[in-house]
Amino acid sequence: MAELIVKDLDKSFDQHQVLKGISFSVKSGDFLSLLGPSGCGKTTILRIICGLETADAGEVLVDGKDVTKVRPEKRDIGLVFQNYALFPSMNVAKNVGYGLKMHKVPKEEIDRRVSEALELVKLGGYENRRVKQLSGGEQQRVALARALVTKPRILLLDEPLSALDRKVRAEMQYEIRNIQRQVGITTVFVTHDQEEALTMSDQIILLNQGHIEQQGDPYTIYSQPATEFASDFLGKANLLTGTLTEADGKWFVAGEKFRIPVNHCGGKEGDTVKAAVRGEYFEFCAQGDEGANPFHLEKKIFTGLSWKLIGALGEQPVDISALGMLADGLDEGADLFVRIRADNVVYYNN
Amino acid sequence: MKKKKKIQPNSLWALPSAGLLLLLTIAPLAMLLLFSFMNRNMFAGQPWPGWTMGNITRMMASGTFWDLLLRSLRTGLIVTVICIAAAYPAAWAMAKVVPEKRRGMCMILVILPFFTSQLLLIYAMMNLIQTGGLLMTALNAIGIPAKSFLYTNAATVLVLVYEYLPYMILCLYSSIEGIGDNLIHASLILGANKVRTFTHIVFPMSAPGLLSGILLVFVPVVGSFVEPGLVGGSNGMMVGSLINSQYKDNLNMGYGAVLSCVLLIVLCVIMAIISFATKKAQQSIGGDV
Repeated sequence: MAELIVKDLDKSFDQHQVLKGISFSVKSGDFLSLLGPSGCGKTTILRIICGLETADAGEVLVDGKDVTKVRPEKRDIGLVFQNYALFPSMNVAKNVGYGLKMHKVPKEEIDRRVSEALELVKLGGYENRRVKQLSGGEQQRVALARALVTKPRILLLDEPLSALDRKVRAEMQYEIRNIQRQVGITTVFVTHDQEEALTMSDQIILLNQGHIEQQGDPYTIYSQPATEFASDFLGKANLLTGTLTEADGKWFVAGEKFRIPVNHCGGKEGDTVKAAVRGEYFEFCAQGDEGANPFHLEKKIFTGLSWKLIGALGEQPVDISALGMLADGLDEGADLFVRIRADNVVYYNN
Repeated sequence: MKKKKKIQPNSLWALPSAGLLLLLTIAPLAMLLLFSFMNRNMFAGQPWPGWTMGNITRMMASGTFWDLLLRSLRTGLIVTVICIAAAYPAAWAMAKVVPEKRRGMCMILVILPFFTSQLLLIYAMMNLIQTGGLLMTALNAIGIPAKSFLYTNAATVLVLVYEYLPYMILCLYSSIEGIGDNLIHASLILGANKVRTFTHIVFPMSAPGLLSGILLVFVPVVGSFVEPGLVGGSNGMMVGSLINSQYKDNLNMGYGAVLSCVLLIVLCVIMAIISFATKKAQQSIGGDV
């Protein structure tokens, strides 16, 4: 258990700057996700934390101690790789016990701790299995046990679930979080999957092109996206361009044929702004109801949990998501009315 | 529409290659064995000599043969060890350090000597190390009073290493290339330093390449006779030279065949031991393999 601080990391590859002044901290025992599209630099940050990559500038502190110049084998950090990176020449027990052996732990203790670690990841009795005989999920559990068995101060997970199929992935999300809580280890998790980040994390750092777009807990980051990129990357919000207006102390973003209530967060009346409205913030209503806006439904797409209703609010394209029955009886081509249910819609200055 | 006839894979397909193998490997070996029990050389225009055990008793009693065999094995060992020591870093650099687009270039540099005749390579090396050659002149010019070591065992070793190093590099390269960077990184992060990462991860995983490298270097080196003959001097004779002279100079094919058979058996036994030892080492380090 340890606190991790990353300060002003810069890194370039061949004159292409992949990290621009990255700073963040993870509280002891917290689960932090680095979320972003591929190429945003999230894996590079991880590799700098564990010492496989050297930053051009900046430092990494573990429990207040600068480890920037410490070699990877001395950092006492656990890492789980995307493709597991299990040693194919060793069986499960030797894989898990490798780190202990390198730390010259006596053999009896290695055996005991390896069994404990395998119990922890629910692979008790797998000691003598060959790595190649295991399924993807099992291999990832072995990798997790191998990273945890030495009791490192920090655990790093580099897209550990992306090679697994959907069902196993959901199971492992839960499992990893559970184990992390049980062990209480400070964890940094790299992913490009927003759902994964939202489900698993205490804190999320959203990265884009080498800088931090937003940092916060999952709820805040989802409901109050700080930038256009954030609103688009997490849950793909509708961006409606309009004019900021005030009426009776309430603020709205108004367009040609719509008016949406927003939370005032800077800007003055008459500014052209973009409101970020999530598909599930809309509800259907009758013409003349308060806050009703005309919506032209063009296409209905069934996505399982909900319907995706593609259409236009005034002139601007909008995707509305409606749970199962709510979309019953709505025909493609219909002219309807919608209003905004949420009262915390954010907007961005253009 | 005409139905396409599908050709089913069939074990008979192996016949041409198996036949070739039979013709070019098994048959000569059988002939070698046969000749071992013949007196003198039946192809040298002599009358049918009849069967004999004489070759074998002569071989058993021959001090020269056993001395030369021992010396050849020693030379083979030295050359192989030097090749392994030199090839690991080279293969590592090619597989892991050199950027991917330059690897082809490195590969060409390694196999370049194959484009030249073996004899030319030997003469080039001789030229380099002879008295008054480039190396000695250079050493003398900077004040080191070095004497040429041409026509010594050291020269034989040097030339053999020069000739066989590429095989070892290529064998090690192919198996080191297959070791994912992630495995090396995982080992480092788990607390192993570079040396232990080599002994625990790289060595066991490159052992198959190492074994084929040893096979490709050790076996031909032990049996070599051209190099010791050209650069080894009067004391440089190896067992290959003795066998060669039985065929070429003494026209005693029977005796040559016996010596060849014994050399073959000794090499097979040694390779079996090396292979077994490597597998054991691999197992003791890595659990099961």
